[in-house]
Amino acid sequence: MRAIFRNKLIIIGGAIILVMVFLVAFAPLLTSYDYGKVDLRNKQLPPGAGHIMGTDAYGRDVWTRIVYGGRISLVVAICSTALALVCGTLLGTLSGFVRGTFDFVLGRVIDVMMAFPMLLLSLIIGIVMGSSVRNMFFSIGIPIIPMFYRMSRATTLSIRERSFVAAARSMGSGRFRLIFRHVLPNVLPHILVILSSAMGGAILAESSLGFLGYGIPIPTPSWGLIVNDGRNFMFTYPWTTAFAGAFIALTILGFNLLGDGLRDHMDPKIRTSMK
Amino acid sequence: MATGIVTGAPAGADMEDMPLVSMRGLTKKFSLRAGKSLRKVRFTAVKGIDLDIRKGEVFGLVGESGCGKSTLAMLILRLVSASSGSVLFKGEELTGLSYRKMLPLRKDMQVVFQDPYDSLDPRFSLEQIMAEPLAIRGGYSKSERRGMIADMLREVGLGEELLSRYPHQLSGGQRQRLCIARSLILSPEFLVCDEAVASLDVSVQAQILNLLLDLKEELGLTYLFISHNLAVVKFVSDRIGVMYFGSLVELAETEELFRNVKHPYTSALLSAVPDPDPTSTKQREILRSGVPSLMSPPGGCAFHPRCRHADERCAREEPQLRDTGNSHFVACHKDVGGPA
Ligand SMILES: Nc1ncnc2c1ncn2[C@@H]1O[C@H](COP(=O)(O)OP(=O)(O)OP(=O)(O)O)[C@@H](O)[C@H]1O
Ligand code: SF4
Ligand SMILES: [Mg+2]
Repeated sequence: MRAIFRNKLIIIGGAIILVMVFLVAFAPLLTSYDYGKVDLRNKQLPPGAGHIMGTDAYGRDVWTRIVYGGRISLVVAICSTALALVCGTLLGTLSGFVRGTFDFVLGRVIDVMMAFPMLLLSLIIGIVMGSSVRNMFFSIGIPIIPMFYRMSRATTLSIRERSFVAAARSMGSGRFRLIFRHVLPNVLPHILVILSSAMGGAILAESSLGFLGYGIPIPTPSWGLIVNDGRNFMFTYPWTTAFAGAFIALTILGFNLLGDGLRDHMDPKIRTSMK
Repeated sequence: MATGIVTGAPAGADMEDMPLVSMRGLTKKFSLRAGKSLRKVRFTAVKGIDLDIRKGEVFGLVGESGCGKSTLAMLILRLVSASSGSVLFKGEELTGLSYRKMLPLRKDMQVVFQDPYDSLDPRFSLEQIMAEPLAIRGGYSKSERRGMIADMLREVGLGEELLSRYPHQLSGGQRQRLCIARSLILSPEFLVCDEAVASLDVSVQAQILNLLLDLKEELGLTYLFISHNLAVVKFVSDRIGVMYFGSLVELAETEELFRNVKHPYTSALLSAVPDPDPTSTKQREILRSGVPSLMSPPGGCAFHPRCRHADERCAREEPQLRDTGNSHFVACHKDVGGPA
């Protein structure tokens, strides 16, 4: 377990994510403004002493909106990706392991899901289920399932042919043990590689949905919403979009570094060579 | 013994005389999608094998790549199920046994595969690898496990300092020793070695072969030793079966086989073994065409498109394995013998 702290990618990526989590968790302590309070006399102030990241077109403090908005963006991204990871990886591994009818039927369902553009699928699910934070998990998470499904199924297909699986079977290992002790642990590193892009995709999906008016219905802003608020004034007053965009980019970077680092850490070949 | 009655072995038959493994008409058909078409093609990878492996012997199985050696091994271990025919292990019918009923027998039959790296889960340390058979079997205390693992590692010549290593940190020879140790830790009676030395350096091959032979003597094991290398099979085996295209074509004690080669395919295999004596005048027999496709098997004797001695009867009629005396069995219409 010590070795995990020797991995620079994990340290940097983890630090970025930790800072983000810290910021959104302690949002009320980090600002004295109200994220929804309109003040048209002080609109579009550049970053300065009173408002460190300036104010938006309605005179709302951008820093306040970003730390509060991050709560929604992060929670939605993490929960929807976690949902997709668990469902996609379990189904994909099972599909690749048992093959047959189960695999065939599930494979066609996944094909149909992939025939839709991700955002459209999100919209349809969002509209059908109605808008709420919990339903956002589904409308963003479900379209990501195929990504995890396909990766884990393909990896499982190659792992189940390896001799160590046959060796375990010859010792009398049951399916449950084969899947959870041998196949899944060898699938997971491949999943981690796509985890970061899935997380980034989820953050972007959330902001796109917000922009289209199908986002979170409560008055709390999200990062996507803040970017889109500033979009109309991009060339005359870029601060709002720039700050919110930077937070989105930095968070995606953090997830990427963390994902790559964890993948290296889970590979004994790389882990032991770093000792 | 109850199983004796089931198999019809004469009452009071000496256990030593009862074969450890018996195959009767053992057949495996696979279906594969041919090329890009949706149509599935069925082909026979193992074809009506009748064979007894005696307790305590090393039975060598040779044949070209793709002739069905590994499939036969998997059938015996019941890692694939037979299309027809049966396998008896210690007199007990394995074909059709449920997964659960098969479990207690698994401990008695183990396997060592060709590629030791592929046979070891890269995420398991050496200790975890050795502990797995014990964990699956269950009922061992922690100290019992530790003792068994230490004993077994010593047996195969691996030091305890390697316990925390991962497979990629071992040499090829060490990995194969580990595979052997893992397969023997539950004290099986029967060990299948499927090309167990083929992926190793020549110098390491000899070490592993000697280790296997020593362990056999010490632990009273029975081996099915599979290889495409006749020299290796000759070195370890008491008896040899030659397989071609899913069938046994020749079967005899090792000495008898090499003294008195009868099947044209065996003599072709033999001539392919490099002769270390540079003054030897041995002629290499060149086989006429490549291996025929399993998808469209030739009629009659499967070997006839490549056989020097083939005639019109060979193309028509499939030869059956027949006893030519001296427990030497051959599946060939002619009595050609090896090259003089
Ligand atoms: N699961 C399977 N599905 C379909 N075909 C298979 C399967 N397993 C083996 N075969 C085919 O059966 C034939 C015999 O294969 P097998 O692995 O038994 O050969 P082998 O004698 O062990 O060869 P090698 O020396 O290369 O290991 C081959 O043509 C192979 O492609
Ligand atoms: S039966 Fe005929 S074709 Fe087959 S091995 Fe004998 S001689 Fe050759
Ligand atoms: Mg093989």
